[in-house]
Amino acid sequence: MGFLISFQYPRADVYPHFIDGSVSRKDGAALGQGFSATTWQDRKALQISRRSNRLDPTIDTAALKLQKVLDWLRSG
Amino acid sequence: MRAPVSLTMDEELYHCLCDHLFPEDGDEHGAVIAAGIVETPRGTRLLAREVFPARDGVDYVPSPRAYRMLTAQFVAEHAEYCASERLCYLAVHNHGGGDTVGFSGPDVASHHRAYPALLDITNDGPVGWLVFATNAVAGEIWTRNGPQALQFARVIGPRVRTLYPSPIGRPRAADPQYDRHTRLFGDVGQEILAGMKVGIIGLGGGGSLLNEWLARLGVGHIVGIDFDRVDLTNLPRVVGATPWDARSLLTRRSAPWLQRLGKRFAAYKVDVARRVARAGRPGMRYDAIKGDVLDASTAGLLRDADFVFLATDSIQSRLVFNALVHQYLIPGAQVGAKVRREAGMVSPHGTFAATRIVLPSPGKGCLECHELIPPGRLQEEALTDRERRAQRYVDDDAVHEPSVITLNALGAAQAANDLMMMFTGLYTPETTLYHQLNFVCCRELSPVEYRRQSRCPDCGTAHHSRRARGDRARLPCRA
Repeated sequence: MGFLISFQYPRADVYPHFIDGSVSRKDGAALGQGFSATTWQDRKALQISRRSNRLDPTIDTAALKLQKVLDWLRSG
Repeated sequence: MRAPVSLTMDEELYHCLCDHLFPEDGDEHGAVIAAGIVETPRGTRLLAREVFPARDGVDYVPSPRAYRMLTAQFVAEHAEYCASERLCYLAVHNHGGGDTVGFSGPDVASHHRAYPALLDITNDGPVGWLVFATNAVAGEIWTRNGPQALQFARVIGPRVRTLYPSPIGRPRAADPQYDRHTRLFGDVGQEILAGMKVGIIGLGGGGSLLNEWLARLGVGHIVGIDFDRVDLTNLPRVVGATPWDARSLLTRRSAPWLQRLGKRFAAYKVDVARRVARAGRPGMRYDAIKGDVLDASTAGLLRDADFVFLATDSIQSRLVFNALVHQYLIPGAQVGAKVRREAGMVSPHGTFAATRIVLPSPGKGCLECHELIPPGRLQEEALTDRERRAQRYVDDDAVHEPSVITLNALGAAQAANDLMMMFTGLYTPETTLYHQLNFVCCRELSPVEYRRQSRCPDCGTAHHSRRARGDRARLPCRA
């Protein structure tokens, strides 16, 4: 999984996240909202757009965000 | 430590200190101020971050050598706190009187006894002592190299006040060209403006107007910051820009290579701004910075400004501006104009000119508290153009927001007047400098009441806040 931490982190959101472009659902269904095919770092990737609307820079770290995105992916 | 040394306090903290020092009992009281520090070629600024009132009879007790003193425990506790927070320790008490104040002999002797230990505890401080009267302040600030007198204290609010140890002399008569100005705010007001250093971030439509007005007002030193060159489409709204500045003979051609050549050799906006400012006020000091306020070295040029204007569209620069205001206790104003189109029509309630005064007090216009620095937008703006296109935040590079000089002027004019009124004493302390939105299509002026988030990382009072930390905290900039 890939993501960008910018120089204004932790004030800037860590968003979006990227996973390998070949990832698909086990049941063969479409990936649904929040996913889009793109290229990232010169490779095919799936972009996962999960923006934090109520980001608190004192507690919302990049690691926590990663965990939330993984939880969301696994629960989908 | 470079002279002159000054103290800056926001009005809320100053009132908190005064309520403790002057409860109208005619007696002496004590406190400690924990302060950030800024050192620049213009001098050393101490920035009051917290006030710790000493309880009478418990922390502030009769002294065998003087009238009263802070207890050793109170001093140790707060000196250690300052050391752990990388702040300066300033012990405070009051004397009677109004416009003049100074230390007594026993006061000075106590400074000589205490400073070596305090410098040890606070990792070389600096440390200091301040004595207040109701309308005056004197101070002695110590480093290993000895003491320096505090030159003045500035209280930042709607009416900016400067306190001295004793009344300063009458100001010089202003240049006759300012006759109509001095009829409004006197020779003293003109002298205050001449002594000011003002930063303008962004010299496009709004910034270029501010630039000319400030120069003609008589501001002595402007720092103009913009990395951009004059473009053909800037000519209708960048004050002073000429077709030659935009190299329009080339950029109007249809051949792309001629357009590129013209753009490459077009004048920088800051050079145009300097030319305009000096036409209005010959001989003024003007720093034309061809740079980006997102870079720490550029933003750092504003650490000792008296006021900062933000006149750019970017959310990233809003974050840096808001940080400068609160970390360095510099009042500022963000100006801009927004035109929203809905179904191809201009939306009356989405089209406005904005003037947002930001005072360096908790919740007094902070852009973060007003949710004007969205974290998602910060991230999007950090991407390269290619990444942004790949991530589909931009569909078409050729699409630009509408921008018209008359809309820019509405927001900018109010902000320039706010600076003038704040610093020349024309606003009362009770004036509220709410954000102001001017909905031009409806001719409706709408104030936005203050919002305050207790955990705000910029203006808040919590430990993690950057408020008044000065040079000992990092700005949200590229190194």
